[in-house]
Amino acid sequence: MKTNRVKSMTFMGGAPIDIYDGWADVFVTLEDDDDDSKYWFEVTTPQALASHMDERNQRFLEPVYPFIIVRELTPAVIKEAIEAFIIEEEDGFWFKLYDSIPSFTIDDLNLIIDRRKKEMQAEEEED
Amino acid sequence: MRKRVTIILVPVTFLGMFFYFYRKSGKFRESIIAALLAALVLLAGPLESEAKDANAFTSQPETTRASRNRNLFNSGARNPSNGGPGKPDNSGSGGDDDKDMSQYPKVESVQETESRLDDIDKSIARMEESSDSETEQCEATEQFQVEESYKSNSELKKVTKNVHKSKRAVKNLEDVKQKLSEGADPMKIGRKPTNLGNDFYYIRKSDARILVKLDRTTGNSDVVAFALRSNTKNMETFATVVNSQCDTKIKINPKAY
Repeated sequence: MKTNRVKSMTFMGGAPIDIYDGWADVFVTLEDDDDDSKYWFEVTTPQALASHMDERNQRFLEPVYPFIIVRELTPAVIKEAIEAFIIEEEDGFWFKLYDSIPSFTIDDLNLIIDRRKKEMQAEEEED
Repeated sequence: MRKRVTIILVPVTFLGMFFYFYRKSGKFRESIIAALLAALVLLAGPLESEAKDANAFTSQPETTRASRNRNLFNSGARNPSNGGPGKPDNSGSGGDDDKDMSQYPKVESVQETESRLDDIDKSIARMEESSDSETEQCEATEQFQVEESYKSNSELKKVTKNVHKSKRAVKNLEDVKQKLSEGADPMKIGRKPTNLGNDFYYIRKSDARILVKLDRTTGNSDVVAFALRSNTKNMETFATVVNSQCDTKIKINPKAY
């Protein structure tokens, strides 16, 4: 990943009405991205998580894909948060992880788990 | 107790007073009369108080008795034909005693009570049966229609094809349809849906984004479009189609920041 700067950001599903208690779907493009790829993130606030559980009378959040948590759903804060996820030294690991996880299938996950098991077996044999 | 004391006191008083007057006057006849009067005066006090007690016990205010009768025996209203428990009989036959007694419940035999309880059980069962069928009817009528107009949209065909590859996204769609058919408020489905105006709702589910239009007059709804959350291209097409074809007040991707 060449850059840690957000070029543009678009709210899908309309801009959030309540910036302190809402969810936002955002498309992001990055500066210096050769293919002008778009990335997708879900962004929310701590208050929205609490009110979501309150509305459903839940004591925990049901399984959801990772999302970015910000204090307020303003373009400036969201951009700042996303840029914090792009760590150049790690080749944008967190940015890529949050963007990619929703496209994982159960086969992908099983593949990763099998690979990890083989790695551990190999380590044990070496010992 | 008071009666016994009176019985002892009257002769003692009579004798005492007789000896007193006889010793003083020496006249036998007059002494007897005076002693008799004294004894009568002594006897009159306790008799008067007993009469008062008796009155207090028997002649309570009419309103109090009537209200007590209502409170104790108001269940009698269930069976008015036979006078029932606690039902006052206002026929007026018989003397005063009969009239008073008629205001109290008639003694009911065990068989009569059992048959009455059976009747009550039967009517309760009938009421429960009728209320169950009414509830079923209500549930049946509370099913709303959910159309899927995205199926006939040529521009959304490719999007839909991709979404159907994801079992979780399809399950999301089915879940939303189910809730809409049950009459759920679209603003309470998924995570913080966005009201796009003109009865369009953008619903966020874990694997899909679904655009729903609600008909407020009928309660029926229409799944206008839906897209796979993990497919950026899919979502872009979804947004383009919605922005161009749907009369939403808020555009899905109005501008880039």
